[in-house]
Amino acid sequence: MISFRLNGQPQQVDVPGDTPVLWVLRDTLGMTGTKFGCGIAVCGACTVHIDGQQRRACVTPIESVAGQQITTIEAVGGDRIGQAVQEAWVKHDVVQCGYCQSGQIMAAVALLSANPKPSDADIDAAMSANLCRCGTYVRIHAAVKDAALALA
Amino acid sequence: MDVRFASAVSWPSPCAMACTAALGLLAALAPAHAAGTGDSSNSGGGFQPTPISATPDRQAGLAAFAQMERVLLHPRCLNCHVPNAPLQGDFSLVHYPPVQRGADGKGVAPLQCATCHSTANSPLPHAPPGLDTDGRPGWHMPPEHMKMSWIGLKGAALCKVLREPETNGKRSLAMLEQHMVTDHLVAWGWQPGPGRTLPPLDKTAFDEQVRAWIRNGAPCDATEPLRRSIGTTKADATREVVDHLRALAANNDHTASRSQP
Amino acid sequence: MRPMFQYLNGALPAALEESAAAAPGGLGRRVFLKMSLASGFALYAAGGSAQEATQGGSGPGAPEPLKPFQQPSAFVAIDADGIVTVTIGKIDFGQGVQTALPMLVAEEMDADWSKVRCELAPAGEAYKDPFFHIQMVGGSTSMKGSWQQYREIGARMRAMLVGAASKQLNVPAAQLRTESGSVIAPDGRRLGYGVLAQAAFAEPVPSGVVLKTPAQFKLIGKPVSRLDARAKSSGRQDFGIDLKLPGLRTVVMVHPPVFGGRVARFDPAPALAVPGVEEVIQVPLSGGAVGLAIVANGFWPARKARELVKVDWDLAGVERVDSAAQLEQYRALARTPGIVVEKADTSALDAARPGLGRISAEYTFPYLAHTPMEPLNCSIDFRGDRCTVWVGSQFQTVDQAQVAGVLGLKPEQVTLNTMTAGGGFGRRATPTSDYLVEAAQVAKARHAAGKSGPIKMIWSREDDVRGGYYRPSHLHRVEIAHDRQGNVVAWKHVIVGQSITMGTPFEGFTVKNGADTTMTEGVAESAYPFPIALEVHHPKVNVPVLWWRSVGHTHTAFVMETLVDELARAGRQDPVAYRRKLLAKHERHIAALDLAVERSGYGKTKLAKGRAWGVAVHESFNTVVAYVAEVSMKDGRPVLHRVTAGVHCNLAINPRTIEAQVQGALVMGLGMTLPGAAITLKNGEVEQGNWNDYRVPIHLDAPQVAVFIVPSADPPTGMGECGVPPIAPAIANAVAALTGKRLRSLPFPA
Repeated sequence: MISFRLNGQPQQVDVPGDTPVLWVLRDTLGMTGTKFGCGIAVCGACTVHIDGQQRRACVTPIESVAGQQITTIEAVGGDRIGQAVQEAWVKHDVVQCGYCQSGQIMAAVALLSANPKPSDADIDAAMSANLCRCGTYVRIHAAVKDAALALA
Repeated sequence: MDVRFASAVSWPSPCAMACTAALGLLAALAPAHAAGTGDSSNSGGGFQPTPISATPDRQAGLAAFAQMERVLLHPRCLNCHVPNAPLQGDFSLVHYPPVQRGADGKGVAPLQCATCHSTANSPLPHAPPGLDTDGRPGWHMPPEHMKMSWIGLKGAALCKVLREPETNGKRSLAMLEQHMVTDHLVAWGWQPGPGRTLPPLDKTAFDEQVRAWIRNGAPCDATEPLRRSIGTTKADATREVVDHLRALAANNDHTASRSQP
Repeated sequence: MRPMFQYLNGALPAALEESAAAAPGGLGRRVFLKMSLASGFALYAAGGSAQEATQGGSGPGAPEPLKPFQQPSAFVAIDADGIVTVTIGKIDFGQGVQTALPMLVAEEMDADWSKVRCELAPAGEAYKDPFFHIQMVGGSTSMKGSWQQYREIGARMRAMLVGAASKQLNVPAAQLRTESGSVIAPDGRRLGYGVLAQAAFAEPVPSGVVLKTPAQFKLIGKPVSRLDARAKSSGRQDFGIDLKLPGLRTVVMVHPPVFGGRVARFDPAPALAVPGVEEVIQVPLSGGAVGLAIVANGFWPARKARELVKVDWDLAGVERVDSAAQLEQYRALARTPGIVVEKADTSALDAARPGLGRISAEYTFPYLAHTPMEPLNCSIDFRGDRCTVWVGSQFQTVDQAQVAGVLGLKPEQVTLNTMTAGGGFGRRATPTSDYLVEAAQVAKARHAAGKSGPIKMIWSREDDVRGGYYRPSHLHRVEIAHDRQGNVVAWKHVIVGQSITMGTPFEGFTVKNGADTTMTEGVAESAYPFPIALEVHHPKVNVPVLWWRSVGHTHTAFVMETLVDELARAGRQDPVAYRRKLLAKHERHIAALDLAVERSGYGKTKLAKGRAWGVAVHESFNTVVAYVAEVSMKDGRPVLHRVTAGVHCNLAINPRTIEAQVQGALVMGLGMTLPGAAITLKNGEVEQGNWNDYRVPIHLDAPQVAVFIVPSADPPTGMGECGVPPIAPAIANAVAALTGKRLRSLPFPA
């Protein structure tokens, strides 16, 4: 049994320890807000926060997060940064197909948590590991800046 | 870290207590600090460094380094011993996604090494390698202030960058051997996950060449003087620091108590 | 442009039925749908004649009975609280139809927009596109084709609500007005749509309806926020891959390393040893290939097991394509006579003529994979005499028929639920229904073995990148003779590339005398009055190919717009002025170009040192897009700083979703220029496998983009694809201005 905290609640799963957090979330726990895009941590669709750090769930073995706190897209709106980011996302109509956006939002929240006043270059650097095939980058950029302003 | 406090300063007693508490903390942290950079080995007191031979053979030492070099220049090592952002893969290409080194060599928040490099290699080809350091993702590069970059170097130049404390993270020969032989991030190079080429020597052979090089005076070229001392290991260096600080603290207590009426 | 719809004759559905009955389990060979249909993705006409086709009774004379696609009850539901749910026959995979189509209905219905919701229709008769007679999304036709249809639905709904209110209020219908979800009487009494709903649906459905004029629009034309924005910004939007069902098994496939390969021998033991893996079975795949399916209680065990399964492949008789060799073959082919598409006088090219300059150019383009963010997947629950499918399909009717064919069912025995999809770009509209057919084969095998329960088949990203159905690779050979002013005297053009539509139901319309219009579009009907002599070659290659967002224009626009630029400069003319002269008869081109030029500051603003302008204008799928790009060079590679877009799409239904489509398509188009944006094959195997080695654009690559739309009230044309073609040539033209170097291939050199 592997115990951890998920969005503030204690959780226990009985799966092989090498199962990636992504598949524990999606298949074991039915929490499908975190997405599968590539399986090799190169697209960012699976981004979660673990003990406050941005992590890619598709390559994180569940046994390595025993005792730690996982935050997913379903709960990221629970703090003021997450809320500001989500509001900015809606205001700017960032999404198109939406499949990458859970990861984009988790990355944006991680950015604004680490750097409340990111420059354009900071946003480019922090967000360029999250792929979007619909090409919503222009609006993602605007939304991140807007969220930063709203939080200031 | 400079641990030489000016012993002429007299410390008021609350400061002395704080100092002693700080010493305890320092003793716990000292191994990392003494090495100059974060080292990812679980170093205990078990490591025994190879002493310099009484009859060092320069040619044998140079030959050993030539073998070490084949590993050092292999992508598994070279990709992170670079001046800026890390390289990636068997062809040492620009790391994708684009990342930055960061001051501590662990990336720039929020996109740190640990974001994608987790606690273990994945069975899937082309997934980022990972390894576990004390239960956390342990992937990192040398920090900004001690880059330990050797790309483009070979032979004597490479050897000196590796050997000299100013460029190798303030490591003595003993600490250098400890790093190369016991550090688990170094060892990762031989367990890199599916689809990645291995260094040209196996780990045991590499370790042997490291020892042979040191034993023979750690020569880098044909003429410079051979090394005579391997210096202290991390464990010993730590002990020295802690002893020194304890001595300082004891002095200050003595001074403080004398100042009370 | 000829109106295409007149060729449609409804033969496709009949042929699909026929083939499903004739070819149960029809796999191991392609499901050939014989027909004389004319339906094409590449070419579509806007214009008044489109409206006539759907009026079905709106005109004078005896009203015909309404067709299923005209019935409000199939498209609108209103609950007691007045929530209006519009069911749309089009999948939304990011285009924004799930906002724009409900806008059309809500406008004519005078619904309260804050109470409007949207759902995606399953495969069904009413949801077949009135022009194509199949349920589909493609060719940038959703809004264009639905413009009349959905507004009429809204207008009929309004009439029924008013009819019901008239009875309840005892006021003649003509005296009632509607506003924001209520019917209002002259004396101020009002009844909300929620209250009226039940009675409204009992009213007779009027056939003839009067639609609003653009001046009366309250919603259409406004920048309306997406209905799905919040759900997609909080992880609450479910996609096909997210489906949860009791007893669901996950299937991961093992595909041959070369297209058409077959399993010779396999050892499942190491795979079966992975906890959670149930079985490994051999299944026929699309196109005669044979692979394996790993069935497990979740994705991870199956995926892990795939790395452990041992397979020997039988590749006898299978063509092993090599990209380097292919390039040489295409070069050689281009030097031989091809199929003539357009004739013109090329005598000026026969020998060097005094006073004439010559451009000789070879352009090359690689295979491109779509790689939508959501990996391809579909779920099937097969019960022997019926079947339910959940899939993010752009091709519901085709997919339904092909799954039915595999399972020995009639199409109507297959319920196909349309899931929201994470991107499509054409990949989810595959005439062979390739991945669905695989899943159906697995379901069939399990059912035959007495195993019940639904399965969800998920393709890994490697399956996707290596799975074929690429934009074909192409070679263009162009020879141009021009005078000193840059005027074209002769133009000889050869295009080599696989045909996308030959061997598919669409061949009847898109292939003429052996030449596929989906390859020549953008050259063959170029707006420029050049005397182009065009020949084509369609080699047959063992790589499945498909339409990729903007299809033929992905390569033809690059060729045309860079050559036009080169001609302008050869004639020492400004590239914009040169185009304006040549396109003088094309008002929409001029309007889009002028708008982009004016708003960009081109010709007025002095650019920073090291920067240059690059211009391109191109029409695709009846919409004209002009880009004025600002580019600089860094380390020998272009950096795209800013793009100003001028768009002529006739009436802009929702400027917000239009802007999004332009920004996104521009990013996808610039993605074609990035080194590594290429699928290559060596000894039959695709060399790329995932986004680590198949390059797609990242956040850093996106420029600043400003989109401007030419105002128009004409019936809307499509926005799905037109933003892709002009950006790569605009960048290349700026590079030429900066360096003097002409880029002749995509992607650009590293």
